[in-house]
Amino acid sequence: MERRRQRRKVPNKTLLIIASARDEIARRLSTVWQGSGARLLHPRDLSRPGWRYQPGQIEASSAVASGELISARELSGVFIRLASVSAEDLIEIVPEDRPYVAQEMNAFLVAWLSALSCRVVNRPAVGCLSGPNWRPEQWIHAAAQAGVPVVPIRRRVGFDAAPVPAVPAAPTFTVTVIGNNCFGSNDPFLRRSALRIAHCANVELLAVNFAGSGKAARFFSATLWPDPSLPDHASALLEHLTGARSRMELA
Amino acid sequence: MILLWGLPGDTPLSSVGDVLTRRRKKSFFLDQHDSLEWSIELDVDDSISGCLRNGRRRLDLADVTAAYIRPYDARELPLASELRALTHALNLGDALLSWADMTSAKIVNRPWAMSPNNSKPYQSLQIRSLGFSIPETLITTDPEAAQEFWERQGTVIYKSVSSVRSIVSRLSPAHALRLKSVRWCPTQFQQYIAGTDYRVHVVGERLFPSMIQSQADDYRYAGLNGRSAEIKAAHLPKHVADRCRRLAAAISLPVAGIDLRVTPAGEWYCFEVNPSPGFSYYQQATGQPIAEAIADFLASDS
Repeated sequence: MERRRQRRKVPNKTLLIIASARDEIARRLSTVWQGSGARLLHPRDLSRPGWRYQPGQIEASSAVASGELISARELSGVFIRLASVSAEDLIEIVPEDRPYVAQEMNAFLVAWLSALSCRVVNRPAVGCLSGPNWRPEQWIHAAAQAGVPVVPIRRRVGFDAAPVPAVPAAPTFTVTVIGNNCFGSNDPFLRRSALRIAHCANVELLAVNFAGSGKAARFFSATLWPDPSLPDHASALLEHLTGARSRMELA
Repeated sequence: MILLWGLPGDTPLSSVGDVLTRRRKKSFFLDQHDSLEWSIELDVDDSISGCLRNGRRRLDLADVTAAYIRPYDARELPLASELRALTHALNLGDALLSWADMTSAKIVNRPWAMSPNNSKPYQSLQIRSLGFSIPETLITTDPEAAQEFWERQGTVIYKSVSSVRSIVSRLSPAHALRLKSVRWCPTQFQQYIAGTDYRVHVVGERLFPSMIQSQADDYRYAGLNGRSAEIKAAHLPKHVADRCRRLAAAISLPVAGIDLRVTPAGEWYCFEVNPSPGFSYYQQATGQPIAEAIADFLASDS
């Protein structure tokens, strides 16, 4: 019995990177992660025969990436570097249908990616494939509600009004959250605050910007699209994507 | 103060506004056609303050206790012909939607809670988790998979995956040759469920069920196919009524239009939850006081 188990072939796993065909960072990551089965999925892959998804039967679904068919069972993880499929991504579609097809692809991807049982970073929100694409004031409000000191923000919209710049005067520090790890600063207060903000946004990859440091630090912005191709970021993200148990398994 | 935001010709919005006026409740109508006159300021930290103002009027957002928001896409409004005007209208709208997502005022409905309706299969899994049956569904770019699904189900409908062009149609032999086009875009096919349609409007804890009798695949567009739809006020079994209330509450929609179909065997399917229901059509046919209920909900303290 034990011998039979040892002889079983370990299935090849695929790590999907969903990105625009113009995304050079995604291309670099796919090269760095090649040994882990990384494969790029571009919007044009959604115009290839082979996608199948029956809601409620995610493990039986199939996808197409870099022109090749992949079963959902083969996925070790998914990294999304795309806010949405845009009409400009769909040059193979007749121009008058591109906006509609883009909407359909986004609606489909939100459902499929949300259902996957492997690790997906970041899980999509409806309206943004890479997580909650909050407005600047929504990040500030969420951080403040989570107990993180913030730089208050003013948003002003007037027909003739100049926009209010939101650039703080103090020196700024960026902490990049990858799973439960933080990069970019050893300041415990910044690291704790960054993790708290990522947790309240329900994301596992986030760059968090602070004005000042230590207990005087104030959060002022965040982005869902940090550059994870730096060597330490890339290996931490790879480990996070492929090394941990999925959210569904944990539930 | 109750904020109403949208267009004056929008019947659900104007009928709720009429009820509030009749009841002498303080309301403030922000007409999207007048977007160019208005500016907005939002100040945000752990609290949210701000105001809307034009040359003559000012609304302190802290005074807004509730809002009924039914904005139209600014790109479809006459002001869209001028780029600067359109940009302003879009920015004003975006700031108001942002406020509506964050404020502690009562909002019908919050933008973030409405967004799952933009992905039908995503919403269908929310619906199923709350106890309703959903039709067997396949989304595919594979013509062979679509053909197999059609053969297995016998009768199949197709509809958009997003909320755009969301008209339900039944597959017919005339579609067979067009199936090969599904390779260009994930296309949604669904098991056809025979039965009687119900639209249930949920307003807080109150329900307004109506039954629709029509031969059309999508009764909302029955007239386009030379068919008709008859709408009558109806009664729901208690367990279905309770499930509707639970569903609307669980997905944070105090006002919702739930589309159900009951089969001859008595199984209740839910197709969709509309987060901004145009209830006037049903109110007119059934006499149900839906606008009154929404006005009550907005004006209540709870």
